Amino acid sequence: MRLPLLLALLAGLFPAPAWTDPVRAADYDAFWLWAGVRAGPQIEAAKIVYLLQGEIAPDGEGRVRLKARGAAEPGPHQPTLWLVYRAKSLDWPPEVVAHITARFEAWRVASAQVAGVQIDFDASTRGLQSYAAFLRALRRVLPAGCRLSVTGLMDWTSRGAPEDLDALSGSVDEVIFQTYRGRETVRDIDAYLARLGRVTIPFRLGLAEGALWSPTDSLAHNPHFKGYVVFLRN
Amino acid sequence: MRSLLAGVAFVALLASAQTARACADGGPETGRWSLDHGEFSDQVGLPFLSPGNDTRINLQFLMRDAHPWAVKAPAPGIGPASISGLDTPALFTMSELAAAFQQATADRLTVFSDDEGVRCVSFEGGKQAFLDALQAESSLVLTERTQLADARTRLAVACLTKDAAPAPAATDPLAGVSQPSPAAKDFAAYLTGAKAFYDGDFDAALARFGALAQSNNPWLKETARYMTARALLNKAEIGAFAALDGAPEPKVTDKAALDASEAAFKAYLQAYPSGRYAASARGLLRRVYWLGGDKAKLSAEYAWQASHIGEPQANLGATDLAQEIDAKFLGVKPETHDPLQLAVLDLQRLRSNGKTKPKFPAADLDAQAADFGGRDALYGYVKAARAYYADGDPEATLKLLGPPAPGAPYLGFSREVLRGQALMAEGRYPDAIDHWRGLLASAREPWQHEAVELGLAMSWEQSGAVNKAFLPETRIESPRIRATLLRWDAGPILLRMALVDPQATGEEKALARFTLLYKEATRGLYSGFQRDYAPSDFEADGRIAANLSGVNSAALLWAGAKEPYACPELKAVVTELAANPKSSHGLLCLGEFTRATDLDSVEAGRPSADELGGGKPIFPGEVFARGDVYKKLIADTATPDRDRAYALFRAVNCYRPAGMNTCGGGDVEQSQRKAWYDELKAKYGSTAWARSLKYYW
Repeated sequence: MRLPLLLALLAGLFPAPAWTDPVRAADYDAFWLWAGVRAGPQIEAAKIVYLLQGEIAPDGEGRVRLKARGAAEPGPHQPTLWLVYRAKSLDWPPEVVAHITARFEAWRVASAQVAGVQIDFDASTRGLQSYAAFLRALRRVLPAGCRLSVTGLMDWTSRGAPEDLDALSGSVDEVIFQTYRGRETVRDIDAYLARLGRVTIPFRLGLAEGALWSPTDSLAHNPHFKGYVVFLRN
Repeated sequence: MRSLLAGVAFVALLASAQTARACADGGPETGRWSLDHGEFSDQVGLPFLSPGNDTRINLQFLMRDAHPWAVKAPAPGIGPASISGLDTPALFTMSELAAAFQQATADRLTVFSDDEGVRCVSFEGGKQAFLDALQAESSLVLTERTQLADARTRLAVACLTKDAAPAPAATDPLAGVSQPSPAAKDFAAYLTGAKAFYDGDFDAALARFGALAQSNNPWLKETARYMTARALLNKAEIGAFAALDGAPEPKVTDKAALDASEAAFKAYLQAYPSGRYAASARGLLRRVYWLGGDKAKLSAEYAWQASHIGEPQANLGATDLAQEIDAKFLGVKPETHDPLQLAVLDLQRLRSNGKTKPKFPAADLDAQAADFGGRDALYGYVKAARAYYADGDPEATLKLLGPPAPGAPYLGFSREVLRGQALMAEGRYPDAIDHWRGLLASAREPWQHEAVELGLAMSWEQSGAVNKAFLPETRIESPRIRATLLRWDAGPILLRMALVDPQATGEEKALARFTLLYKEATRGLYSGFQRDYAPSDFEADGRIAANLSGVNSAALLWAGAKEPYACPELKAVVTELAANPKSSHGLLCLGEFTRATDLDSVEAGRPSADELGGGKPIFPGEVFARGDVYKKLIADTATPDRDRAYALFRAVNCYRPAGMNTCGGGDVEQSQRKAWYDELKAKYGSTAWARSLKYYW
C-alpha cells in the first residue's frame, strides 16, 4: 500500500512543522557531487564538497575492482573537499587502499583543503560490528592528516545497539546519516531523528535535493550535530 | 482542547499532503506489470524495444541484434523461480540485464577498470608485457635481461605510490653492464619513457617513445608508437577537467596535442591493424573525439563499436559501451545519422510523462527516411511504435507492422510484441491469444518468454479466462505471473486447484492457501472456510512464505484476545458467523483479527485495470474493511450496547494518530469522528474504552 508520504511522516508528530519545503541547494553550503551530476560553477562557493572519486565493487566474476568515477582532476578549489568512494564490497585488494591514498595525496598537493576520505557503504545494522572493524583497519593505513568519514543509514540509530555505533567512534571522524531513500525523505524520519540523541560521534544529516524536509529544533541542541549535506541532483 | 488543536493542525497538513501527492504522481511510474511501458521505467526494463526502457537497455538490445555475442549463462526463459519478490517490478533490473549479457570471454585482470583519468590502468599489464618482450629478445645477455626485468618490477611511479610528488628517480637499469647491447639500451630507454608517462611527465615520455619508434625490437617499436599516442592524449587532457563537477565536460586547451594524438593513434592502427594495442588505440580514439567535441566522428565510432561487441578490436562489453554512449553522447545534445542511435533516441522521444501523449508527429519521423536508408525493418518498427505510443492508434500500428516476418532476436521480437499490444488495445483478445501462443516458441532471449506469457495472461484475464493460466495444457510457466493471478483474480476453485497442483511450489501453495482462507473468512464464505481450514499446513507455509508479500500464514492461527475486546480464536469466530452472519460480536472479532494480525491493508494496492492482476476478480464478495463493520454496527439500532460502544471506540481510533483512516472503507469527515467521540463519551462514558479515549483525530 502506498501511503501519502507526508501523512505517514506526520504519524505521532504534533504540533507538526510544515513538511512542505523541498530541499533547495541554495539554502545549504555542503554538497555531495555524484558522477553524472552537472554542478555548474556555483559549486565553488560551497563550504564543503563531497566528491565521488570511485566505486569499489565486484565485477561479474566476483573480483573486487575499483572503477574511477567523477570528472574533476586534482586542482585548486575553494571548498573543503572530501573524496568519496562508493563501496559495494569490503573485500578490498591492497591496491585499492594504495590507490585511494595516492589520490588523496594528489588532491592534497593540488588543493590545500582536502579533509579526507569518505566511504559510502550500506552496512546493514547487523553488519555494523564488522564494518567498524573494517574502518578501524582502514583508519590505520590512511596517511596522517587524512580524516575518515562514512555515510550512515538512519536505521543504525534505531535498530543498531548503542555499542555498535560506539564501535565506529574510535575510527571515524564523522557520520553522515542519509535521511532519504531514492528521491524522497524516508517515511518514518521523525522516529529516527528522535533517536539521534544516542549518537556520540560528530554527525551530519544528508538531504536529497528536492526531497521534502523541515529543519527540526531538537538538532540545534545536539552538540554532535554538525550540519547538513545536500545530495545534488539534476 | 488537544483534539481541537490537532484538528487545526491536520487541516493545514492535509493541504501540504496533497501537494506532495501531486508531486509524487508526476514522477515516473516504474516497472508496472504490463507490456505498455509508455513512461520512463528507471532501472526496470522489458525484454524488447520500449519507450519506457532506459536508453541503455534499448541500446544493448540493438547491439545484440547487430552482432550477437556469446553470453556467460544460458538465457533464462522466465523470471525468478521464487515469487518472494512478487512486488518486484516487471520484468528485470538493469543490473540483472548486465549479468545476463556478460560476455563469455574473460575480462582483464587489473584491479582498476578504466574510466576518467586513470592512466595507471596499464601499469600492471604493461609490466608482464615488458618481461615477456625481454624474454623474446635474443640479443640480450643474461645480466641485461635480469637487471632490466628487476628494474621494471621495482619501478615506482606517481600514479600508484603513496607519494603524490614524482616518484623517486629510477636507478640506471644497466648499471654495471660494461658495454650494453643496442637492444638493452632501447629497453632501458623505454623504461625511462614509461616511468615519465606514469609520473605524468608527458614531454619526457614523448621524447623517449619517439626515439624508439625505429627500434629494431618489434615489441618496442610497436609499443613506443602506441605509447606516443597515449602520452599525447594525456598531455591534451591536462587541465581539461579542472572544474569541480560530477559530469565531465572537458575543456581542452592543448588542441595541438589532441590533434597529434588522433594522428598518432590512426598511424598506429594503420601500421598495426591487428596489433596488440589495436582495441585500446581504437577505443582511445573515442576519447579523442569526445575531448575535441567532434560529434560526427564520435557517433560513427560508437556505431562501429555497437556493431562489433566481442570482436578483437572492440574494447568494451555491451553494458559498459551502452553506459558510455549514454553518458558521453546520447545524453548531451547528440547529433547523429546512425540508424541504431536514432532509433534509441526516437524511442526515448516516445515516452509519455504520464499525463499527455508524447509529441512526435509522423512528419518528424518521415524526415529521418534518408538516415534509416537500408534499415527498413528498424525504420518500419519505429514508425509502428510511433503510431502506437504517440498517436494511440493500434489500427495504424498493425498496418505499419505489415505481415509477420522473421527478424533479429530483439527487433523481430519487438515487432511481434507490438503487434500483440495493438491487438489487445483493439480488444481483439482471441486474436491476441493466438498471437501470443504462436510467439512463445520464438522467445529465446532472457525474459522474453515471460514477456509473452505476460501478454497471454493479460489477454486471458481481460477476456474472462484466467483459469487457462492454470490448466495443464495452457499452463503459464512464470511463477510471478501465476502468483499475481492467484492473489488478485482467482476464485475459490482456482485457489483450491493450486493447492493440489503437483507442479505448484511450496510458496505458491502457501499463497493460495492464505488467499483462499483469508478471503473466505472475510467475505462471508464461512462454510468454505470450515472445509478448507487445515492448521497443520500453516506453520510450514509460514516458514516457506516468510517474505511473500500479501501472505501471513501464521495469522490464520490467531488465538483470539481477552483485551480490549474478548474474542475466541479465528476458527471459532468463523463458526459463530456461520451460525449468524449478522452477529455483532462475530463481526467485531473479525475486525480484531485483521487489526491484531496487521492484515488491514492486505488487499490494498490492487493493480490498476491495465496491469496484470487488474482484471475483474473472480472471488465473490467485497474486500473486507473493518471500518465498514463499525459504521454498520453504529448505525444499526439492534446492536447490543456493549458492541456499539466498542464499535464507536474503534471507529474513532481508525484515525489515530494522524487523522488518516487505517481501517479501510470510506473515510469520514472529522465532524463525524467528533460525533462518534461525543456519543461514546456521553452514552457509554462508564466503559473502559470511553475512559481510555482522550482525543479524536
